Amino acid sequence: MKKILVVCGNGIASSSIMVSILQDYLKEQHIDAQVDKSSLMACNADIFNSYDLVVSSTKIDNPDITTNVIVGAGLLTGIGEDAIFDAVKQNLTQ
Amino acid sequence: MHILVHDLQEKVKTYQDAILTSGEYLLEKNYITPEYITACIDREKNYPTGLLINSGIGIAIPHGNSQFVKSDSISLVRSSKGVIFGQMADASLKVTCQLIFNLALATSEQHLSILRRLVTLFQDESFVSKCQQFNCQQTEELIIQQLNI
Repeated sequence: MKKILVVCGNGIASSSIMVSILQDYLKEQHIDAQVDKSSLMACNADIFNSYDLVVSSTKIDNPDITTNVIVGAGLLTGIGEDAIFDAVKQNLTQ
Repeated sequence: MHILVHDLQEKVKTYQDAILTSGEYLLEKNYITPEYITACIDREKNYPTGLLINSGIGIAIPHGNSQFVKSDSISLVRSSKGVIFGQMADASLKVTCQLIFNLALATSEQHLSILRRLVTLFQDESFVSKCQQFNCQQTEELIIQQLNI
């Protein structure tokens, strides 16, 4: 099963909301994936790289991260939400 | 879950002051410990929470460590001129926020449904414009009703 890591600044509110929205989307699309949550402060490149996909509330500038990172703040505003969903789907089904 | 709504005075122009003001209302009610305010401001510096929503309005959702929260609460402060926050998606970008929802949640998991309803409401132009136009009391009642709490 593919593994997604969802992160925000402190792993409190934003990432929880993004996880919940993503889980609903994955269920709707019948995509089986494990969705974990963490904070940017608690994660290093090794942790990010152990996942198939990272969805972050904010852009991450870390050249050591080889896993694809999708900026997911649009899940909170609805702006660009479809593009985020498409990118998630593409990354998980490729 | 407690909801507080206040208007910011015009002299409040920075996100630090906006968070401080919204936090002081929570402190007044004994919903948080004083450290919560500093925690929110520090977090905002590194990981800003400003969101530009569909209607072109800016909404910020500053929040901090749950260990400093005594009672789950949301303190909304409103600014007619707006307060500049960094954008969540990209900290180098700014957004002028008219509505600042300071989220004080002791246990985030339990309040996930409320948070989800709240961000869904941000996409509802009628809700957002009412939050700006209603008086504080009406806005408080509207949020309680819409969040179903």
